[in-house]
Amino acid sequence: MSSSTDSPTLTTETTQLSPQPDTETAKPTKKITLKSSDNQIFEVEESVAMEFATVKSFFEDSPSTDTVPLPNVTAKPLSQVIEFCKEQIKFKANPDEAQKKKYNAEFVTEKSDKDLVDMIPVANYLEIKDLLDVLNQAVADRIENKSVEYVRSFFGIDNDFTAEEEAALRREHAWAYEGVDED
Amino acid sequence: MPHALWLVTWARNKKRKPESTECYISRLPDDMLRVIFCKLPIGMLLNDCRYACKSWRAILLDPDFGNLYLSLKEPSTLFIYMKGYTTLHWLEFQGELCFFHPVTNFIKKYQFVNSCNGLLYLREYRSRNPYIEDLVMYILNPVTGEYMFVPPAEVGRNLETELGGLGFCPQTNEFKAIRIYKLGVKKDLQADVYTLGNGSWRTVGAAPDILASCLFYHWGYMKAFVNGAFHWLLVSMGDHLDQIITFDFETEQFGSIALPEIVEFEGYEVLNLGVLGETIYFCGHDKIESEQSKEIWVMRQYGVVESWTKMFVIENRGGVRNPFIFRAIAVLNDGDIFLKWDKILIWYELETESYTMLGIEGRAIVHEPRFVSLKDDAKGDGPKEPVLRKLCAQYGPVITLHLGPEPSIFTNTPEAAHMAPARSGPTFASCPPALKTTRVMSNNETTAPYGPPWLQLR
Repeated sequence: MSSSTDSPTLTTETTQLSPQPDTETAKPTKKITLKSSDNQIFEVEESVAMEFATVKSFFEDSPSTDTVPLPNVTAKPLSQVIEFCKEQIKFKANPDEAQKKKYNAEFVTEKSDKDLVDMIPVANYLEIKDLLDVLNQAVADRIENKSVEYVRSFFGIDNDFTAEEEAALRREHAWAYEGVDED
Repeated sequence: MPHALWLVTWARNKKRKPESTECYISRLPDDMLRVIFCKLPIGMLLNDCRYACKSWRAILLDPDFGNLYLSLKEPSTLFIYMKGYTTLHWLEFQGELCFFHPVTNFIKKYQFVNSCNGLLYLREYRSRNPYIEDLVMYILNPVTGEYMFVPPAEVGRNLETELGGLGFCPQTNEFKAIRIYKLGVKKDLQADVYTLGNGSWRTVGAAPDILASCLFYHWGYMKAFVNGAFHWLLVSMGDHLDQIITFDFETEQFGSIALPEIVEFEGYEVLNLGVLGETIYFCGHDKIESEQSKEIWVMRQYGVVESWTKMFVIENRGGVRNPFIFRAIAVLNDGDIFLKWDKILIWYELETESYTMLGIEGRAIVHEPRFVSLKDDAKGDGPKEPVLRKLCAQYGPVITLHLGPEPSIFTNTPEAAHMAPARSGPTFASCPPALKTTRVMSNNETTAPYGPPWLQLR
């Protein structure tokens, strides 16, 4: 995936961010700059950035920094993770479990399989536990009760068993076919 | 690009260059994968995920994954379901969802004895024959796919086949099986215990005679293992013998637990015994007064007779035709009850009094998954050869080991094997027939020499 296709999403992200402090002019919020591995810049409110345990501890260690480099994270999943965390902060201010559940469900429903899987390492690296739970569950739900062929195509796994190997392993597990009849 | 199209394009690209690193799973760390696996039903992990690719198989076979799975698992209720004595399935309930995956098929007919701590205890199916000598019993772990036969009964021991069972001793971390039998024409009941890994049965003395007087056609439903002890519920048709006989696998002593007085009333019939958390329950009905309502009595404090409480009543509002045959297979803490009514398996929600018919017929028992290899559970039953070889090197070609009740003599050279009985004939003349050793069958070849071939070679 080229970063050029990602950048439009990116700009909308940043523009969406800016109107918020304007509506709450009473307390100007501090902005924090995040830099993805593909050199995209994200400006997020401090409260959003503090949702990322990794970023939070980074700031605790070096409070004077203005830009946090995220060398393991590309722009697209990062923008989606930011989107999720912004909503979670709203729910923190006005707890509404039903709405939160609904939002979380919708958040994952509209994502492609690839987007979901791509976000997992990001959520893991940034230590966003709630999101990680939501994503892992969503992935599990998508493959639950699916055939091995579906699971392989979902994760893009190369079947590195030869047909003979797989058949042999399955036979091996079908243990009750063997031995029992000898007696 | 629409998602489906993207997937197709991507798959096509993948085919063209199979060594491509584009495969995005490669970016999912293994520990994330493990967490996802923990959210999947066990039948799917064993039937599908295990065969997806080599690295997945390695993750799923790692014993540490088993521990993680058991700690992170979504609350669910797992059963092993058997149909027609020949097929086993996983039956798992997670909230509203029900999952059904194959475990295996048997060539011969087998039936459940019980499930304990992740191991299934099965016996060969023989219809209505209470005393059998040569019954094949075996233990299997449906998660690892390993199984082993338990040593068969010696000649002259008539097994009270319905009374055996598999238990676990938490103090010593050992699985133990108990069997109850009549020796020859003597009427007294005797009990033997087999510790998984010890190769043979050993006697623990007399079993309460009362166990013999209460044989029932539905014995299979009248036993339960909990708190380190096996429980048999005896129903004696009104001669005040009704009680629960226990066998503690640590002390290897029999005991008893009294039933509430209601069971003594004429016309009251106990239908089955079961485990709820750390205690026991039984299900019964009053055949005369209210046959349509089944009661579930729970011993709220294990061992305290006064704590027997009628906790649930299930009315036959589901229109089950034959209300006589009823078993409460599992009673869950939230009041959901898994039933077998007539032939049908039913999920019953107490709060709403709603019935969900599963549309399958057969037997089901509660089962906890166990990720430990049966080889580790039966450590002592592993190949003894290397040990023997070492001992022979140290002590010479003929050694005596006390492996069971009788001393066993081992030799490591054919000359010694021939010389010993030939030279000292009378000493060996009355030597008891060799115990058949346990056969551990598994994926691993190392245990193979210990089975029938080993006996033949010997």
